[in-house]
Amino acid sequence: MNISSSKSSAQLSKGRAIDDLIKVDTREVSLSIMSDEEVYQLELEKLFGMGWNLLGHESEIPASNDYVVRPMGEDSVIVQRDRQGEIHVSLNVCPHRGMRVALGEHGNTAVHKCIYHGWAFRPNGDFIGAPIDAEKMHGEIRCKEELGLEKARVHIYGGLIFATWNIEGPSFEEYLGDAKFYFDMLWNRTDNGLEVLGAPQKVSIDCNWKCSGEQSGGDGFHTLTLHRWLVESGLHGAADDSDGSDPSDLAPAMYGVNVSANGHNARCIPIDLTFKAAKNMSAKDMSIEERLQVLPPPGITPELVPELYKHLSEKQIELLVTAAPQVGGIFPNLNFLFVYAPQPDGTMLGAMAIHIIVPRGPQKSEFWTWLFAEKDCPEDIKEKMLRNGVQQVGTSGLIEQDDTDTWPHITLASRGYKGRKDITMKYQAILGENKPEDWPGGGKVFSGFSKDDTQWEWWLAYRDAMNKEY
Amino acid sequence: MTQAQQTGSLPNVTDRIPVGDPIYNKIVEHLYDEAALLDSLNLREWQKSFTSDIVYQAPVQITERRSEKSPKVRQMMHLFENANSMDMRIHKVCDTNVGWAEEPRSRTRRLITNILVNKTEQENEFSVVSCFLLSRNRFEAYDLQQITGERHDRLRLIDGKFKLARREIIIDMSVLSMPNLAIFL
Repeated sequence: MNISSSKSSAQLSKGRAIDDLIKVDTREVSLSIMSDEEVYQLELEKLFGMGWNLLGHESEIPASNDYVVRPMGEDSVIVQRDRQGEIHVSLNVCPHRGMRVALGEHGNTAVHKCIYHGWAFRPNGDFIGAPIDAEKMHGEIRCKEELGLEKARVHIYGGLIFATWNIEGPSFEEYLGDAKFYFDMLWNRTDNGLEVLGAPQKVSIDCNWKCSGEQSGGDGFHTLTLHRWLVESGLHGAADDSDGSDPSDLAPAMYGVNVSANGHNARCIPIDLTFKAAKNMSAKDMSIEERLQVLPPPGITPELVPELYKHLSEKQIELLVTAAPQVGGIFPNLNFLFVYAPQPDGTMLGAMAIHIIVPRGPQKSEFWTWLFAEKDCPEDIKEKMLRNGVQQVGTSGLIEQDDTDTWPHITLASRGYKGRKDITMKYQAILGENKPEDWPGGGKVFSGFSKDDTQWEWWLAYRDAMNKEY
Repeated sequence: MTQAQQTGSLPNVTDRIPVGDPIYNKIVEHLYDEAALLDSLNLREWQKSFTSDIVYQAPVQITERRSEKSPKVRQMMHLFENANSMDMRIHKVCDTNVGWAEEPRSRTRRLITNILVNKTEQENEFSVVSCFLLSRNRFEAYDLQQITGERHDRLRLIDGKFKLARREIIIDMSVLSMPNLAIFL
């Protein structure tokens, strides 16, 4: 995606433009953007139509003809593996009269038959025919080739299935840009990659999707107060002399390197705190190999460590054991976590999760959660990771239940006359680009206390994407 | 059909204990007491009523066609608890003031009904299947968020008291009607 400032801004009614809502010089975003119907319709086209959408993971459809039904914005699509193993994404709408074709949320079939008039489609979306072949019930104005399901453009990255309706647009790699260097360390690090620990959890929230979307751009800061429970539970290493009452107790963990590219972002959190808390060791005096053995990256078992050397560069491996990317997002609506999960018995698990926020209207969304483990880690670790993941993130997640309760308030506030007119969301805590010497990765690099920089980059990417003309 | 969609009795149940039987009545009373404790957020008291080896889980429900096989994937859970994690949840609500998802707390109401009890192969364990309607209201919301479902319980009779050894909750929804399960079902 080419991020450049547009000459003209996308127009809304009453003489407004997208650029009026996002004030670049003061780093503010009008709160009205969180409930505006016109903006929402534009988002469905520019972000969820023309952008790359995460639909799932290939491990969810392991066998030939397996499929899942997933959203791209408010469009429903069938994500299916054909007999040759190729994955197709097709609009789940019958081109005949608009009926939903695949009725389940998942299944397995060699032929999708619309229940309305029996139009039949292959896993790749091709139209086979309508019943009573001799009567040619699809008529003669359009040939069969024109009557298949609408086909999206698909890209598989680290097993993750992405799709877009922007058939001629930038490739997924172009879309990631400099973020790929960091994301490869999470999703392209082992021979056989990740597998899902089950279907995604889905919950409904009365909020605008951007409440979560802009979190995919960063916001380490909210950990101090919204996730204060992490300190009180003893799960998060606080400052040594902490008595548990001061938000700045979590402050040591707020220092790190936040990176941003094309609206994607990652928080690279220094390993020292984790080493100290988990192993009572100082990582400083340990070699890379020693660090990998003592405390492998989240989700990596000691047996999988050698595979890292096959897939990652020296610089990536070094980064993995000094300041690994732990939380972040893919623009516009994907949030990820690859975090250490200390267990009560003293062992260390990894918690690997991906969220998407799905738009269901300007004031309604669904929040989805997938949990992952490395395909080649032992079964007992997978079960432990599933259990730990469910306990900490997602539907009943002790950490994340506090996030989902917050978002409806912001959306409600954006309905009021005064709220819409005069309240802005502010990203004015500026660290500024500050690349450490020998920093191995690209993108904009903000080293120091986790401030508003990467979230502002998300809004800049949002503004650019909304202003793009097709 | 996934295991999660099967309703009715659990495996290894033997004879029905009929409605009105003294044991049935005691179990109903136990379930009502439990609902009252949960609705009043008396969670530490509720914690005394489950066993140390408790299994407490709510599998994710997925819409499927009878005519099609499902992709082979692990069973995801909305809740996947043991005694230790239950304690963490109770600690968050009862012992801290920063459990924002329930601070301020939700107003909840648990209606427990359609209670059926069976003996099991264990002399002191009973299979209890019940239906629930849970409503939840927060802040100034004008509506109630609701969930209905079935609970498949194993109650263990220890020293004259019933303790919850296992609860599997079959929720009647695929997409949940509420933003989180910061409350127990």
